[in-house]
Amino acid sequence: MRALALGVLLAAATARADTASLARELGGPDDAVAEAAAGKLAQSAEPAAIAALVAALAEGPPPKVAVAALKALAGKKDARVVPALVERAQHRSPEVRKAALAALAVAPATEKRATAALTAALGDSDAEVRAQAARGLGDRRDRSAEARLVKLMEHRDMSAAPALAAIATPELAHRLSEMLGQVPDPILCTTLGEMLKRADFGPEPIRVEVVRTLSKVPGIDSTAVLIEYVASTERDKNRPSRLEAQKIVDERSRQ
Amino acid sequence: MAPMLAVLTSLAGCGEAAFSAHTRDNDVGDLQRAMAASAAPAARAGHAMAFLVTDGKLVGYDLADGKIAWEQAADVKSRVIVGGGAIAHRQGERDLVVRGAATGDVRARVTLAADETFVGAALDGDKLVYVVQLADKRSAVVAIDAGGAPLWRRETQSALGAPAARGGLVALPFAHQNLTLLDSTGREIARVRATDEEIAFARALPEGIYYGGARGVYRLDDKSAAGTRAGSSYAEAKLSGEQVRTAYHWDGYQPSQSALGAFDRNRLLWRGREGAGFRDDLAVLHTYRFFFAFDAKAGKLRWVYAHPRTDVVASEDAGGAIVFASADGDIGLIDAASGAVRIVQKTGLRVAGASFDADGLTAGSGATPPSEAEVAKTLEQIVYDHDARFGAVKVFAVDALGDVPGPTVTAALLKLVRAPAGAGGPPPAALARAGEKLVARRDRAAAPAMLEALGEHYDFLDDRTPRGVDVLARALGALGAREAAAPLAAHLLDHETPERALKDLATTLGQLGGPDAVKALRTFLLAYHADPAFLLDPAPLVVAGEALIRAGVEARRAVAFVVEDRRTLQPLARQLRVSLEAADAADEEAAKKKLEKKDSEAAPERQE
Repeated sequence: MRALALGVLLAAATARADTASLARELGGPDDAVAEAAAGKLAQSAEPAAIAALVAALAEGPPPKVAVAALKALAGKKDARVVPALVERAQHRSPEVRKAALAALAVAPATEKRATAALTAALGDSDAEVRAQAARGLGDRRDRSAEARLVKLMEHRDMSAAPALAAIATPELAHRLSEMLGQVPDPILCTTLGEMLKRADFGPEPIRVEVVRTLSKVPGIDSTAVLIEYVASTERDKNRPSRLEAQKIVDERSRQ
Repeated sequence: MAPMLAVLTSLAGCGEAAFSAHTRDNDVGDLQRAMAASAAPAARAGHAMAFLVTDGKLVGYDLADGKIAWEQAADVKSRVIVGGGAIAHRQGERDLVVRGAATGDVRARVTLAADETFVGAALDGDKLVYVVQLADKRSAVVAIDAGGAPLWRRETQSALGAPAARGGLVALPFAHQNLTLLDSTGREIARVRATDEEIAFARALPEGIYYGGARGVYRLDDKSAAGTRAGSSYAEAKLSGEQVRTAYHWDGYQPSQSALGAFDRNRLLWRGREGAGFRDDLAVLHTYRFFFAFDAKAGKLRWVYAHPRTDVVASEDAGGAIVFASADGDIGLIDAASGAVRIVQKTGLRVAGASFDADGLTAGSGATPPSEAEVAKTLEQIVYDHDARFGAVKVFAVDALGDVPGPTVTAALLKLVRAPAGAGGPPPAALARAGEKLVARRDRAAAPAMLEALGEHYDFLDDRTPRGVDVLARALGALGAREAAAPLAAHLLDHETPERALKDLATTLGQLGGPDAVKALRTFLLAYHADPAFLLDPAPLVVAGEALIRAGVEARRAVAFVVEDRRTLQPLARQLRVSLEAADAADEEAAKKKLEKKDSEAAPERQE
């Protein structure tokens, strides 16, 4: 028993020593070593590891190292993490911003600061950063960003499509249907198609409405979405929305 | 015998053939005799007139009655020259034609020889004097009477410029360096040799004869004998800005400038007076559709006029008014003193060029002078004009705008600073100049508007792009507006802030100081001290670091960390190390002096 206790203490001491050593490497002049250290700290269960990563970010590491530290902090449940991520979401390097937003996307759903930072980032000048933010908001299924995601769609940014689909309600589906002709067809079709893929999206009459909206969009984009929907609902052949989609596909194939 | 010799000596300079290399120059006596030979022109007998060159026609327009007085079919190839009761112009390929001003009827016609190129002409009453270049590079000046009969002809191996004639005296640029004066018989009676610059034009006005080059205007008087700018009655018009060409007159040596062209739309309008300077110290810059009137001494704008839509193709300072004609046939008058505008008539003619016999004409009482706000508005319109030709004019207008006092102008400058540069809009140089002017105004009343402008941050979705943040930072810094620290700090830390604005933001935050400023500077320095994106231009970080050094011991710690951090960009670390060591040394020196002072104060007490 005593030996076991000693062993646990020794392991803890070793872990602390390792963490301290990794923290030093993280703040060192060799970027590659620092990035590797961040990766190792990400695996550590030591609370000091999070502290080391947060402290390293506060000291302004080179962007590459900052990205590694941000990735390491993703998913960590610690009160110090979200403020550090939010701050880095304002970094001048788009890579750093993307990494910060990716980490914020997996912050607890109750973390409003994360949602706010992601929503704000939809207005970023960098398209990849906007896409990262939109993805994060979609993953979080947070509907508070609906208005800005719709604006993103209106600004012809394809990254709005999956995010809007992820948070879509019947009301939003109806609203998007009415935007036919106001936003590029490919974006609208992708959004509606992604919506139909969601098993929890409904009720069925709304799905039928979405399919009928797609039928009003001429061209290959809407046809491809409808074919995909028909294929993905093979097991539920009598579903009204599927039947409607099949009918439209058949009509188009005859033309 | 002696008096006779003196007379002969005094006349020696005049005894030479015209344009002789041996002719005496810069002689006060010669000049006085020449000027005595020049009588002021007689008052105009008829109405003021405009002579409009339009499609295949020459049109005499009565400015007093506001109607076309006559029309004559004419292939006019030159600017119309106006004399007393007569006009003249080049017509067709080789003819010079003199017409009666009242009817347009041809009075005389001269056909130039095949080897003669027309340079310019002047009317002295109804006598025509013209200059031609000959094929063998010689030049000739020729006079003909009212009926077209030759009076005299003088030739020279050197270049002659377009002549000016006034009351029996002919003045013409000669060999680029001289103004030569001929009497009514073609005898050279005096010569001015300029030592400071080329004499490129001669101009006869009711108030006297003027001559000059690219830089300014000389009045022909006794002082002309000096030959220098300093010694002569010489004047230059001071304008705000140097972007727009300020030609005082057509280049007399250039045959092409005798024709109607762009030069008629880009020149300086002025009148002379006794001694050096311009009448009422007024110089009016005509450029395309625009007129800018300046105090020629102070360079301050007096008024501005922008003619709607079409270019003004001809203009003249008639003394009390600027008279002009536009390409679409508008004939207008602008009161020279106030800028009040009166459009005399819309003739509807397509006008290629015009000349005026309008001396003494006024804009009349029906015209209202523009208010300060209207002047500012007009200048703003010029700056935002979509015509891409006006790049230099727009910069010039911004310069002029900056000289107009009042909150309206400050608001206009602020709007310009925030305007997007782009095709058809204000050119980048105009926007930059607007920024300089805004900073220089130090208009405290504009601070709230500037702070409000700083509230805007980039947002792709809301189509918001703040512009001029760097200028706003400088302007608020110049005002010492400490309330600007927080919004400026927000821009320093906003990743969308353009790199070029960062240095100004850091500089101003350093000047303003305070907790918001220090916090932002520290965050900025720490965040980017190892960021290779700043390797090429670490100046914003250097400025932030040096501001923190000045901000005190606590703020200095961040700088010390950056200096010691092995990841810090080397140029930044080097610069901040030097600054930090200098600050530490200064602190030590100050502490030492303080201690010495304390000791010296304590010493007498000990002695006691």
